[in-house]
Amino acid sequence: MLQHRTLNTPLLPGLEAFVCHETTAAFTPFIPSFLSPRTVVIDIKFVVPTSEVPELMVASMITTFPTLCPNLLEITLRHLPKDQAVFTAVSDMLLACNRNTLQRFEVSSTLTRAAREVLSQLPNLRELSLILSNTLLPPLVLPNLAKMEIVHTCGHEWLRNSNGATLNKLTTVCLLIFSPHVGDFLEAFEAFAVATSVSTKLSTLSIYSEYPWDPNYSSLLELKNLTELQVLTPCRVTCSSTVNDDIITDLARAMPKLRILQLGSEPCGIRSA
Amino acid sequence: MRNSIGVTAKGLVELACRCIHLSLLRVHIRVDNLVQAAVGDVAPPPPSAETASRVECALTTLSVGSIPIPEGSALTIAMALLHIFPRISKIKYINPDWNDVQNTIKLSNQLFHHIGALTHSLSRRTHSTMTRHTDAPTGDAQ
Repeated sequence: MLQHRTLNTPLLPGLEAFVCHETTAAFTPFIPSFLSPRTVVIDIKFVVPTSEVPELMVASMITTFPTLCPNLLEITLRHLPKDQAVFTAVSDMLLACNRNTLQRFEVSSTLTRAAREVLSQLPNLRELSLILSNTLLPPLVLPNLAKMEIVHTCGHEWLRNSNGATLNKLTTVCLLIFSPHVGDFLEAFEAFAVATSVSTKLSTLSIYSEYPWDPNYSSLLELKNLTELQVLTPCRVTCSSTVNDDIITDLARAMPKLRILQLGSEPCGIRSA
Repeated sequence: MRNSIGVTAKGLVELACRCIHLSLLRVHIRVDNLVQAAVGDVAPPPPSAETASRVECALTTLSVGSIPIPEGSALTIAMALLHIFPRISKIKYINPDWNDVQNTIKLSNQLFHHIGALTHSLSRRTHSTMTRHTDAPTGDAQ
């Protein structure tokens, strides 16, 4: 049926939200057929492993979004194939989108420098998720951003770039670190949060590190309004969920509103001493 | 470097007293200290001035993973945890030894619930009886 439809005519001209999870290679070319100027939400998750999805086909499809849906509010593209053509297509899509309408931009992709410049200034963006790999992010002037997820595959230099940043409504931050150079991440985040006044409003902070790490929790004591704090890092030599009474007391005193506190992975079988 | 690893009964009490809305906790607990505190081998943590008037902590779920527990101490650990976190109902564990702790907590909660319901019922009946006696018309009223 999809192959015999009339070209250039949307299958569902009134469709406002297109949501497709477990998207396969076979279905990918037909996605534009469902989109129309009425479509304001696109939420696509590709099947895992993404190696089964042809990169050029995905890239070609993504570049059609701004033309087919000129009034997009929300774009979610998860499990994208890791390929330069796809990353370029995502960046080009963002550059061509209506910047005043975009409220959610969640893509498992890096962006070109030009796209990062645009992304950092979207006036109505509420939710953001993207991958940062060996790149800097311009100061974030996102006055309506409430939720931010950043996947790091490199260092965290962007946290040092807070001059002029505007994040008045940011309450939820999720940071996923896939780099062995975690180092002083919490110190850098605290400095960023204080410099941008995020520290007074932040209610949820989740940090996940793929590599073992010994976080300096005292850097978080300025985040007094946290209700959820999760710092997840795997056990290797020592138990990653190990903190002592001093740390737990300091956190408890600083964050009386806590509802969820998870430090480390599941406690391992190490004998406490 | 850290002085010691794991949170003792003292740390848990501090957390329970100061973070009364806490519902989920995952840290490495020093179970040996918890057992010692419960049987009185170590001094119970003194309540500080700020935490003396204690409000019950809302914690319901404790994630303990693979933390080892001393043999035969499941009941003691369960009682210690119930003392610190009176609303605890779920232990998330990998080490199956914690199953006994979970079961003891569940049983204790059922028992408290049952006693609570009985007390409430008795209280209502007593109140109802007293009200009948108070409201009963006396001969003088006629």
